[in-house]
Amino acid sequence: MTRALIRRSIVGVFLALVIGGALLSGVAAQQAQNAGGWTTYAGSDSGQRHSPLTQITPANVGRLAVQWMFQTGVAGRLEATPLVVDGIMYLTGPDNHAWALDARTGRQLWHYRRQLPERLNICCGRVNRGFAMRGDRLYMTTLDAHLVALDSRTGNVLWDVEIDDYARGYTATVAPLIVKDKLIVGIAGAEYGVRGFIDAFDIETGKRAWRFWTVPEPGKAGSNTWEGDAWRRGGGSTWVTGAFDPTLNLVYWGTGNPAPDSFGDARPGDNLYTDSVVALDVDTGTLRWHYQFTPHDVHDWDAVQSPILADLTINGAPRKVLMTANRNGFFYTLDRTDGTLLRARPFVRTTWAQEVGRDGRPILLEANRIGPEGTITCPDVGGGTNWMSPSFNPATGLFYVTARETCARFYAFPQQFLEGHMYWGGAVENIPGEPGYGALRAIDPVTGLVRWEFKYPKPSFGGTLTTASGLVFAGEEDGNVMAFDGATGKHLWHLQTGASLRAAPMTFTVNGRQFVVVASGGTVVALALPDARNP
Amino acid sequence: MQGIPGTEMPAAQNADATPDQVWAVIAYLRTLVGPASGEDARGNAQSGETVFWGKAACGQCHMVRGRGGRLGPDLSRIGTARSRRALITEIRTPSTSMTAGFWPVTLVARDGRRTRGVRKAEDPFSIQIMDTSERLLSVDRSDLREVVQETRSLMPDYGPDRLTDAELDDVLRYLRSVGQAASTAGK
Repeated sequence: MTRALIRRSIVGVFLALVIGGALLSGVAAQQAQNAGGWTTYAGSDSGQRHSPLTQITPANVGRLAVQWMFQTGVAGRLEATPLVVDGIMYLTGPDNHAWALDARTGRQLWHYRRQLPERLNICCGRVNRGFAMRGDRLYMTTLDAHLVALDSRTGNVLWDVEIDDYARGYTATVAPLIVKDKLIVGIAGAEYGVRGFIDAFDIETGKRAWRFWTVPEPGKAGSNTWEGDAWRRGGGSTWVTGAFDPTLNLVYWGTGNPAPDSFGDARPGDNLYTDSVVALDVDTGTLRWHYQFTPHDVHDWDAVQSPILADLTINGAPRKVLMTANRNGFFYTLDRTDGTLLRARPFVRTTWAQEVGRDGRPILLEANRIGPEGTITCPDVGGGTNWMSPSFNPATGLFYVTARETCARFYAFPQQFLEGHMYWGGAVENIPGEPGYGALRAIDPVTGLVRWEFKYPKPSFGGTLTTASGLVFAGEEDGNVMAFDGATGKHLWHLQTGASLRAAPMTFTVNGRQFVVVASGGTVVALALPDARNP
Repeated sequence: MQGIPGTEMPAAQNADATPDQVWAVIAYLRTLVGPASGEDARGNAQSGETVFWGKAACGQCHMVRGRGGRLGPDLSRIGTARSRRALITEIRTPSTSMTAGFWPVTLVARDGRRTRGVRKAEDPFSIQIMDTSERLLSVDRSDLREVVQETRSLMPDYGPDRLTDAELDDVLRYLRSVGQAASTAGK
């Protein structure tokens, strides 16, 4: 750490502590101190990915220019959202590499690399989606299903606990969510027939506080949606960060596909709580309510997409809602106090369900049935959207999501379960000559209707960000980071970064200058207005 | 993992593999390049070379060992990279198996002018093609009225009227012999 960096940090702390003429302490001090930072995976507990920063506006975004780039130098792609606290950026990468960078210049302060076992059961990429941070500690999940705490000033390991046994197929890529005195983490591994869960760990000691199994054992609520011992290997991963409502004391988390992915005959029933959102009491892990988007899924349509919380006026009444654009192609608005369905409407072409009925269950179509002969269904296995983060701007009232217009031929066939081995029970085939396309879509969560869209040539996996100045930033598969007018969808600016964007843009302020940062391939690109000089 | 430009190998960006594992796969694949099977031994390579560069005019669009056109994929290794069955399909009905980087496209300018070629790259704001004169062009979408993604390959169907079964065997034998030489040189 340079002397200048230390000086700025000390000044920042001093200013934070005397804001308003009163001495702040604890969380309040940290919030004031980090007002211009980006301190959690989604920028806030609500998951909105909405920044209050307004230096970059629709009028000047056309002058946005690259200020620095950081090339990780390691194989694989970045899917993480970096954190920025006190002018320092904390980034996680492939194979559990991690870095601290000077957020003003991109210069590396430290580099951490975890020694991973040689044989890992990873279905879908050796990636990580980011740190959680409190005080001077960083928290990261690992590909061998551990949770580690690092010293933010050195990258040294403070403690390291096992979440579960990687040899059985468990792995972790999720950015933890810090709520009160707990670290909430999810798990991956449904493609290996694991039994999913959400864990809470004590933030100081790393001791497990509670575990919520996403697939209940016999005798527990929801167990009547399984037959025999299918629940033991029932899937229900939880690999994307959830959201938290402090007034309701509930944490909301999406759950993944049942296992095996495609051969549903191995697990008759609705298969709760897979492909659902669950609302858990954060102190105890007790389930308050759930909503299942895709009962008895056979298309690998995880419902892990980041839930977004907001307060909306619907039919003249204020509602506390949870919004999510689901991999199954439907957009949902739920009442987050009790899980009541308020709106469900397709946001991409869907051929598996006609609509979602009044009872909250999808009304299935013939294309939902798959077997060894193959069935063409839309969306494809990647879904109408996926882990790429959506965002919400309370001012426009619009939900911004990267949509994928794709179809595929799905096959299902029996497969014997072997612990630690892929347990898919089927296959998926692209349709020759039909590559599909992508789009950034703005959805009105009250009506469920798409207000505007901007098309991409390819289905994309880039996330989105909104700002209080009315901008939407997004990334796409062919390498562009782009800015749009959030109200109209007018394209305002773009930069070709040279690699596909598989992460969401984020924004922060250092020394009075607003940066927008996005990960492109294995490179971090930092953008700012050229004339917004350091004071 | 980034694919091989100019060949049928696309990028495998989603592959869950370390660099060491990728090299292991490459080493394995190289062991698969072997002598022709009995079926592949049909035909006469010398006659196939004559047909390839003469009657069938394959070389107008395809390169083999540094000679030929650029509009289609380089075929120097194709004879050992694909099965006989796949190659027959690709020659008889090329529109059923078009390769990334060679998708046919027609650009329609604002004044109605049409430019035909194969798509090399694109993004939401621009498209890059090689036109039928082998010129590499970059055009902003804002300057175009339409981008027509064709479903028919620029390569015509080589049915039995254009290429008899015997001539097809000769061409396949020629490509196989060229491919084996290229693969050996690459070891």
